[in-house]
Amino acid sequence: MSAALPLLRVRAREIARTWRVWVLPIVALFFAATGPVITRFTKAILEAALSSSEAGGAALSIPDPTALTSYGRWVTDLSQLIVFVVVIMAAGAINSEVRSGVASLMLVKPVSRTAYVLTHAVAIFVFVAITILIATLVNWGITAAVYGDAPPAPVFAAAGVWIVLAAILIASSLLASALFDATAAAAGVGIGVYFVLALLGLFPWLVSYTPVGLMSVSAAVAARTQAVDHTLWWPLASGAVFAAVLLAAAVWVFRRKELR
Amino acid sequence: MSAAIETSQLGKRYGAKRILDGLDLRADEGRVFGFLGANGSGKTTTIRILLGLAKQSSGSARVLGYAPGSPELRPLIGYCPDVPGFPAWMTGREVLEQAAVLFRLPDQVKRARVEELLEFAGLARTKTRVGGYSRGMRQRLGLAQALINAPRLLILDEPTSALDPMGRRAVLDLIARLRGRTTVFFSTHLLPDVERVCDDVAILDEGRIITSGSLEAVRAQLGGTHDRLLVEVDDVSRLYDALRERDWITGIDGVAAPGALILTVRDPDEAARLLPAEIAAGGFALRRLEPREATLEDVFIGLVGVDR
Repeated sequence: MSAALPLLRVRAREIARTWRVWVLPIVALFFAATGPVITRFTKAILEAALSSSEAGGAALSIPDPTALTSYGRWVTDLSQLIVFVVVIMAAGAINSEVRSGVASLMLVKPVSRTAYVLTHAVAIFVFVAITILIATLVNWGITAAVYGDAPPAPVFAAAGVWIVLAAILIASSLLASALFDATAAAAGVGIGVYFVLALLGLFPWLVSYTPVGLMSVSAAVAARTQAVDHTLWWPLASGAVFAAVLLAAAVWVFRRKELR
Repeated sequence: MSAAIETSQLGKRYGAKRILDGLDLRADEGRVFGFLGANGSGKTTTIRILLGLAKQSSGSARVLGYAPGSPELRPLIGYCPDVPGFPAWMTGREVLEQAAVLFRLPDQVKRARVEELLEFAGLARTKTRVGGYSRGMRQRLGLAQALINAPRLLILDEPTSALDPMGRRAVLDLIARLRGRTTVFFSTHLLPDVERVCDDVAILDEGRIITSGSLEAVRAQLGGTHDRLLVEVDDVSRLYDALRERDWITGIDGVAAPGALILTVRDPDEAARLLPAEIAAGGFALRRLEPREATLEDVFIGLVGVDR
């Protein structure tokens, strides 16, 4: 009775035919394309600004930018800006359909509530992952054009780590979307999870062994300073498990929810 | 006759607020069942429980022999709420096609039903997305999607509330045509709709069924035709003044029938002797005097009260 495949097609068409298809790609491509250029000229701009204010000595401490600097900027944009677009997309997925009556009309048909939640999660996750990988490709291409030597592995690996972080934020926002009728409340929870993960980054053990480490691992992978050891695999594995647990909680909550 | 819907002592609470209070309901298969009640009486809550969208706090419910919301039941029912919700980005055709796919209808059946139901809903030539539909268009599309699987049980919540007279007639004609093949259970507060198409009715008040049965039986509960007379004269207000102190008249309604009075009398035979004499004595020109059959509205107001 789950009707997962037809539902997944509906979700994909919904993304393709609403604001969702534009907002994330435009934001991601903008930052992916402008980041390498900005990092390339940041040092020159700062030096010019500091010398004109007669404090030129400070400019000498800024190293020359490289492709890795550009990648670092892209990871920062992903972790500090694009996460919020992802959270907002997921936060309205369930509760807006419950409020409008779309969910109840769908769920009196042979459609399971589990499939209803999971197809939302899969559609958003795949859309975010594909968008970010395409934007990362753009970022790598422009970085190569600007800097010449630009190895692709660090930036794609860093984007991969970030996608695990995005999975956690999508799952937590969907859980909140199943719990709360207001999209703003659900988005608040998603953003809250992000800030809690960032704050817990103050604790080294949590960074090494839990999803808390994903933000710093992503930056370290982009900078080629991440060791390929437990400090990489534990945050990735625990992050994937955490996302799955949050998603299971979203399904559990939605299966018990009364619909109007 | 087997029951399409059967509830026993069905109760629903939200905190301290009791919405349904021991609801006993039975709707037989193949009949058109009108579920009447004032706003807030619990009609929609009952329907949500029957559909598995909400859980009862107490009691039990069976729909076509299954538990509400069970996987075996869902392919057998069609449902249209009073304000149907559709993805705003879809067209009417896409809504019906999606519903057909969710019911796993074969392609050939899907194509035929979608065309037929778009015609029925008057939306075959509408290219607008659903987000731009009027409430009436949404309600017609809601009815169309509820019929896509040719359901054994059609549950409609206020199905004509947003329709113009033509749309309303079309829906009521459709419901009448479904009699015998599909059980239709519809909630409404539009009593003429119920009188026109229903075989059976139940009246709900404050979460309780206060009367139920065949339409004729429920009408008869208020005395049927036995103690009510409709009288029309040239000066209705003067007749009202002349009759209001008479002890053989227990009630006078000057509103239900424009230009006439509906008298509730103590004894119809006594009234048949006394009323013509009163009319002659007052010098009224008599235009009409006839027994008045109780309408469902009379029953409803009599049972639920006029304040609602």
